[in-house]
Amino acid sequence: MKQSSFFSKIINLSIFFMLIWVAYALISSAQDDNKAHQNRVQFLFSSNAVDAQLNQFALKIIAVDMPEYDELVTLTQRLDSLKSLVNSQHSPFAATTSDLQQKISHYFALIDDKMLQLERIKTAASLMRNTLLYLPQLNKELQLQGSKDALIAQQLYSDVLSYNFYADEVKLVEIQSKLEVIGDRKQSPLIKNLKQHLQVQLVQQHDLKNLYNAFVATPSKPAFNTLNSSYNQYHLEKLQSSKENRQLTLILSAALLLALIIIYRRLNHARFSAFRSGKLLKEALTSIEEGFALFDKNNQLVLSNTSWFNHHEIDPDNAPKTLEQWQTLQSNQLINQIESHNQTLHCSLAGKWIRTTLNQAHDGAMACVSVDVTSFKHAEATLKKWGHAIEQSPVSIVITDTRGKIEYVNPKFEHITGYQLEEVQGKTPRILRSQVTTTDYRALWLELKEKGQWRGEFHNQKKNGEHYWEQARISAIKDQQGEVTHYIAVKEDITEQKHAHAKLKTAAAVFNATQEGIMTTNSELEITAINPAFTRITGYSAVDVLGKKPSILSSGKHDKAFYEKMWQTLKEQDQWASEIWNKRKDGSLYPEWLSISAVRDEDGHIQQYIAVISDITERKTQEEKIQYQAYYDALTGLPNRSLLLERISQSLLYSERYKQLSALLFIDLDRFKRINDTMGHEAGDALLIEVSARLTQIVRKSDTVSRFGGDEFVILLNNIASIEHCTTVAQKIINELSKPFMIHGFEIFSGASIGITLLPEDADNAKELLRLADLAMYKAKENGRNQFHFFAKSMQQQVNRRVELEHKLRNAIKNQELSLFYQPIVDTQSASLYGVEALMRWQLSDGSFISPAEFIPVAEESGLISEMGEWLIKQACSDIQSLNLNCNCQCMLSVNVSSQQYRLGFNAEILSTILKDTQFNANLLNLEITESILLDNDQAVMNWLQDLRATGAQLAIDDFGTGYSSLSYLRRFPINTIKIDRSFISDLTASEDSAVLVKAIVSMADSLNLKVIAEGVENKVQLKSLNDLGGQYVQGYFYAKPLPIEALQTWVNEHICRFCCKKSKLIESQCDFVI
Amino acid sequence: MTLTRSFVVLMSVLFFNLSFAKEPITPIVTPSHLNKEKIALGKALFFDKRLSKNDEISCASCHQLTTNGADNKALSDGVDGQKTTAKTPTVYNAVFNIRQTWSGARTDLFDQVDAPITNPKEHGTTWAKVIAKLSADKKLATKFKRIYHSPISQQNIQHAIAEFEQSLVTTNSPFDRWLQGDQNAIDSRTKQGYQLFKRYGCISCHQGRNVGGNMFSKIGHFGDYFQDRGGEITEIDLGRYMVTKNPYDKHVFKVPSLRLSSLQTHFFHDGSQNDLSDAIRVMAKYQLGRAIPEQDIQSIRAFLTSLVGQHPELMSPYEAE
Repeated sequence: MKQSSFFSKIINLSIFFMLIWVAYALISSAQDDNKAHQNRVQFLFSSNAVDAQLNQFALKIIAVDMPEYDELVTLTQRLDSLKSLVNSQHSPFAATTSDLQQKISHYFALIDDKMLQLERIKTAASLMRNTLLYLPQLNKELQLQGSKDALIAQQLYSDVLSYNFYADEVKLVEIQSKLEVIGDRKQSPLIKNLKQHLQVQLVQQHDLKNLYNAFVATPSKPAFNTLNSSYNQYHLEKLQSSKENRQLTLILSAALLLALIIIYRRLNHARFSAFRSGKLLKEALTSIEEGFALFDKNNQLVLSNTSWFNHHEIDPDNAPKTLEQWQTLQSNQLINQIESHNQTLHCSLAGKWIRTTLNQAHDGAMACVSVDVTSFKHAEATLKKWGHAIEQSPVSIVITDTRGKIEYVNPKFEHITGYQLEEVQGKTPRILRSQVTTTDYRALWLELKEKGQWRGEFHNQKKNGEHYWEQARISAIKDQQGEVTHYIAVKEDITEQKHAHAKLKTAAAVFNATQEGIMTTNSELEITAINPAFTRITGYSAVDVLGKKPSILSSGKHDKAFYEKMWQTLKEQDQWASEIWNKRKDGSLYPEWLSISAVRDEDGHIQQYIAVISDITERKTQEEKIQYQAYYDALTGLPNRSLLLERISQSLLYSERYKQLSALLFIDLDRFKRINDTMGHEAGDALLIEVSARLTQIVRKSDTVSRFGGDEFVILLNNIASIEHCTTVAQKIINELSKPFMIHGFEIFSGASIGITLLPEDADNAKELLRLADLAMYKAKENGRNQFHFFAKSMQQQVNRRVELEHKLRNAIKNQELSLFYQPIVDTQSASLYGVEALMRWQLSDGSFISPAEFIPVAEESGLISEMGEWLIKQACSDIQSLNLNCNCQCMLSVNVSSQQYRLGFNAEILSTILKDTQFNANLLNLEITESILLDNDQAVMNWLQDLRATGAQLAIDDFGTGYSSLSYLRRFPINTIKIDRSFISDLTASEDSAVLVKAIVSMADSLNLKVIAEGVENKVQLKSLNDLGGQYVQGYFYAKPLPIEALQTWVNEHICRFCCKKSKLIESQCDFVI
Repeated sequence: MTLTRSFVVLMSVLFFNLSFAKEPITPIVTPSHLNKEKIALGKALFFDKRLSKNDEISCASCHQLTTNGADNKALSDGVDGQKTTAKTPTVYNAVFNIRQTWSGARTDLFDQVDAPITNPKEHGTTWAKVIAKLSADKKLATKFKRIYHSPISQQNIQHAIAEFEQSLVTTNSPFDRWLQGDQNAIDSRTKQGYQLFKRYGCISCHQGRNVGGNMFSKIGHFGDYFQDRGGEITEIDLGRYMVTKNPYDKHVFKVPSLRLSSLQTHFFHDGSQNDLSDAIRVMAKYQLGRAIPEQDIQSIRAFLTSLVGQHPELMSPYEAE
């Protein structure tokens, strides 16, 4: 249908285009005719114009009205082009009649002729003109010559002219006779020339007349008129005939078109009818499900429907055309069965079952009908499958009739029960019933009849007497009318399940009843179950933890490695057990014994984990208690002997490893036995408790105070800085324990004796150390109570001497045995006295000196330094004040101030008082401090120093270079002077490093605007080196040793010019001071 | 009657010495309608010797552009050492001629190109040969293809050469400048020469922009030129008669242009005169039937000299001096 409509559209379109074309052809042919006509008329006009112009030019030439002939050239060219056009293929008259063409040729021949004549006219006219121009001049010349013929020449000239006007033969004869007369008579050149010119004039006149006449006579005009009228006639005829032609063509075309349209419509109608009936048939065939194919008697396919092709799974476009081919196609199918002579069954690859019937029609044609039987085939197959299913079922199947008589049992039934089908056929399932069955068969039957099915368990007996459990489902089988025809029982042996269930019940009871907490997780470690004991131990109920991770129990007490090890063990051994700290729901930590087992499936993959938890908090507490009792003294709570021994051993290890010094103080209370005996054990115990409290307060936390037994205590001082620390502690203990104790309302005095051993010097094991300390303690007791005694002799001696020194020093202060010495400081550049350093000297009554290095530390430790320091400043100020007054000079005074003095309260106020009292110029006072005091970087120290500076006194760093010589504190603290330590000076000549260092210090001090004083200069070489390095101020034996004030006065008098003291000039002649 | 009236006019003109309202000679104007590519192609062909037998000569062999558009010979050299039968006329300003060749046998320049090619005494070849030779030149063939959109043909060759020849006009001559109003373009003698040229009647034939070339005239109105010349009377001597076969046209020739006459060495169709003054004398004798005094001849010569215009190819007489 689509195709046909497409064709009809094409035909419609082509008819339309034909109409357009016919119209166009008609119009264009008319236009063509019109244009050609225009061209011809144009051509004729042009030709006529040329002719007219020729005539005009001829007239102009005759009238001598053309100064030049270029216009004629142009005209000639126009004529040429017209001629070439008419002679060419493109001639406008090419398609006209030969008569017309002849007439044109004739016409152009005439014009050509006229053109040639015009040329001759031109020539003749020029000649005549020139002669006419010349004749008057000739006449003139003749007259001038006086020729007799002049007159006759004149006459002739006028005759010629008149002949020109009135040309008649008589005149001509007369003129010619006259000319002959002239010619006969005289042969003068002038006459001859005249004669010639006159003759030429005559000839030319004649010729020109003739030529012009001939030109005018040329019948170009009539020729044109003939041509024009002929053409007009031709055009009219042509017009008429073409009009007729067009009309005819139009009528013919219209008729043709009409015929075409009618034919087309008829054809279309017939085609449509045929198409409609064919369509009906096709629709009928298409609508049936059966395939249909009709083959004519030549076995050619003539008709078929879609079902036919669908059944054969063939694309209709590529389908076979003959019956044989179809049969071949069928026989090539997957299954090809011939069912009868005219019926076959096929199964295609796609599983389609087709039954084909072949029928002979009356005219020898064959009609094939195919039916799709796939669904029947499938139903058949399904039935077969069900049969197999029952046969091979893993459960027993029993089919009985309505009365319960067995009709069928499947092999599984036979296998389980041991009965064969033949044995049970016709019997009821009652044969399986055991004596112990609990099934209510009456209820079974009732329910089965009411609901059509029953479900329940049987406790049955096999053929061999073995009992077994079965779960059964009995259903009624109904026919199509709904009548019950059979019962089918499907039964499963559940004996195993029954047993397992019983086991599970037991396990669950255990799970719930056990005192151990049990928690199970899946392989993802999500908690799957917990038991009541778990809840009791951890506080977590099932709601809290199910689905969560066991890490919620984590106490955080165990490190990562612990858990890693746990998992490692679990992975390798499938179980792990350990004591572990966990956290309860309320946040409290508790120890538990945790045992985890991994449960694997058959493939070895971990399926779940089972954790068993025993709370061991109770046990733990017990254990700790035991341990405490083992290591601590029950009365005082102090570590007991055992712990002490451990600690000492540890300390020994540390001491050796880190080169530390530790000390062991063995303390024995004095008079304890008496207190115990007189006031009772309780009082003794109270005293011991009070003692232990006092002891604990004295020592650091890192130290161990232990009760060794009875009234004996041992203190382990770990990592002490010096022996002094140890002695200080010992003294403190003695002091503290000497104070009275309040026991039960009584003031009791005790006291202590202490023996000291040093670790690791005195022994290398704890017991030996304790023994030696005990020994030392007895030594202390021997020396009288409230003493401490070192085990080492040297130590003891040192202690003894120190105590002695302190004692003596007190006396010395009291007895004014201390005195002051002054060592000069020299300015080498000006060779003058810069100042003096005040140094303390202690001279015993026997005349010997005790070194300041020995007694100053004692003074500092004992606090005597405070008193001594103030005395020193006061005395020195007083001395130097008088020196300066005596010498009228500005000698600087340097005094040492120790950090201990700062601690003991020396300050700017005290200093101010001293300065005021002595009237010493503060600007001349130089307070020397050590580097160490600055190192603490204490703001208080800083303030202290600044206050001191505020009094006007200067500050100097003593022993610079020995400590942490740092530039930074030099900048931060208000320092004026640096004193380079004597060790650098003594090395100066020997070591290059020292020289470099001194140089560095000097230049650094320079840049910070500090003075540098070199100490300990002993010889000239040192002095020279120092000077080379830029050192200006020098102190040392080279100039003078420390001198008493009197000696200093003398030294100054001797070496410093009295009068020049202000200039501080050293007297060169007396001493080789100046380099 | 009209003739009579015209004579009255003529007389009055002559006797009352009235001048023409319009000068009989007009200035040459450069043609503007020409195709430059075709001119270039035509020029190449004009100089191309392949247009002759044995590649001996080209158009330019006789029409020497630097000289005067012709050679300085009475008769020119054709192929095979032959001589042409007539004096080569100048190719300069030929475009203005009413007809081409002495006898006017050729309608125009296009038509004229054909004449020497097939003339056995001149180029002595055939068009077929010429076309075959030129077509072998691929470059030239391509050029033709591009310009004429067709292969090399007689028609194209003729057209191209004619196009080139149309461009050969001499402009800006002193006399033309005078005509256009420059009073100082020529001297008084020249002016006098022009007046004499008119008064003697030379102007009757030698007029128009080309000072001739636009009409025909018989040689020997007065006296027998050929008898006086002597020698055999050839076909060429018969002149236009050979074209029209009309007895009247015997010895009739196209009046030649005098534009470059002062550059010529030989004169008339037979090249019989080799001096301009002599040529003027011959003309006076046979055409005007009178003698012209020597002084006037020199004046006329001066006038003729002033007619020479300029063209890039032409060596100017002033340059030559």
